[in-house]
Amino acid sequence: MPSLLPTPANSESIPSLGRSAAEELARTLRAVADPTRLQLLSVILDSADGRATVTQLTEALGLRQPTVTHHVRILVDDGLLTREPEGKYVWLSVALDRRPAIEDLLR
Amino acid sequence: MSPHPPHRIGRPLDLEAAQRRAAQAAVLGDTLALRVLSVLAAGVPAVNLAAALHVPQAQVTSALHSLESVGIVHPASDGTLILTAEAWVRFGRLLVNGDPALPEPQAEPAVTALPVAIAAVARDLSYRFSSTFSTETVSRYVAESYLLLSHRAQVRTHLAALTARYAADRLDALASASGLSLRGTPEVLFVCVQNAGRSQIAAAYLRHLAGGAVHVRTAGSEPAMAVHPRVREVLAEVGIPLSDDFPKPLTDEVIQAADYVVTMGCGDACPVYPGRRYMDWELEDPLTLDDAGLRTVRDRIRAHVENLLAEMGIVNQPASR
Repeated sequence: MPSLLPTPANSESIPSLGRSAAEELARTLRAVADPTRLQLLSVILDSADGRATVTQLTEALGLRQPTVTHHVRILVDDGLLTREPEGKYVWLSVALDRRPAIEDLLR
Repeated sequence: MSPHPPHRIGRPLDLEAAQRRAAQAAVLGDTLALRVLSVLAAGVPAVNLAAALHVPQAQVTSALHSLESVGIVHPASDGTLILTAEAWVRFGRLLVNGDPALPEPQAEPAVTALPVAIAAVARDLSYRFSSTFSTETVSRYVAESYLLLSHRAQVRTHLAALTARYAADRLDALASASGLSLRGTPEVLFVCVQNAGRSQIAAAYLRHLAGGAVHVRTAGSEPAMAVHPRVREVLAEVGIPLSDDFPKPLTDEVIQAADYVVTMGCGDACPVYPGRRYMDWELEDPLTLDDAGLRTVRDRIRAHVENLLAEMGIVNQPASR
């Protein structure tokens, strides 16, 4: 059972983000710092089985396919989205380890 | 492009909400702003941030200003900057998970070890989520949420409220993720005086007609000891099973858990909370009437329930169970 007491506020034991963890996290936050990308993520999370294709995202958001593809590439590159080819479709879903953080952000 | 297989597509977050979150993420996309937030969340007062982070005060001030402009921090009553509830909910987990030094909450923290106020949160949410999750699941989420927040919170007086909101959000999300979306299943509360007649008849009809599409609860402003046998009989006549409901007092959490609140002869006793649909059905207490009168009230309740179902957009689908 972790202690429920407040953490002492001296600089030696601050349980805060280290510089490298902060840089990594900041990069992820920059990837989602765009309304369209957040909308894409919200559609994917709300879809059946938590996945959607680029075509479906294009329809759901009323955007052009190149626009969606551009944003999807950024999210895939940052590891927020995973691609899962299945027959002639490529399904996009939110990476499992990122899902709780993305759900929090969309609240 | 070939046609898609049948697949339900989600609805997007509305643009304004997306813009607000994007602006917050953009501010936190700056490494210094993120570190400032993280140290602030760890309980370091704003005035000590520059020293704690070994950066010039001007940079810290600028980062705090950005954080405040997007609603991530705000001044507490004493003027010092603290995290907003919204920031805890949206970024609390990131700040915690980003730090490998913090112990993960235990798989099953003991609810009994929690402060009284947090144990109360667990009880309230157990009630609210009782149709979806076991008490154990709810308690574990509340305990975890509390531990996550308490590691970081500076102002401990709001911890119970924050924990309640955070845990409820997480349980809602879990319910949607598990296909048990609470938002998709409206909750109806029937209230009468004794919770032995009218509310029981209404609940029996609604359960029968809506099946699993609606969660039904009942309560009474002055609950009787048991459901009246005449009510059981008059429902049996029309083939409607009386559920195992027993008369229960009207409490705040049942009202707060409801999307629709229907009062029958006790409107004054029922507190009004925003965001709920209130209805009052004018019906005589059938237990003061003879058998014919009781049947008339029963049939009027059925008509009311059918109108309610139509209003909720639910097609009649008799329960299979």
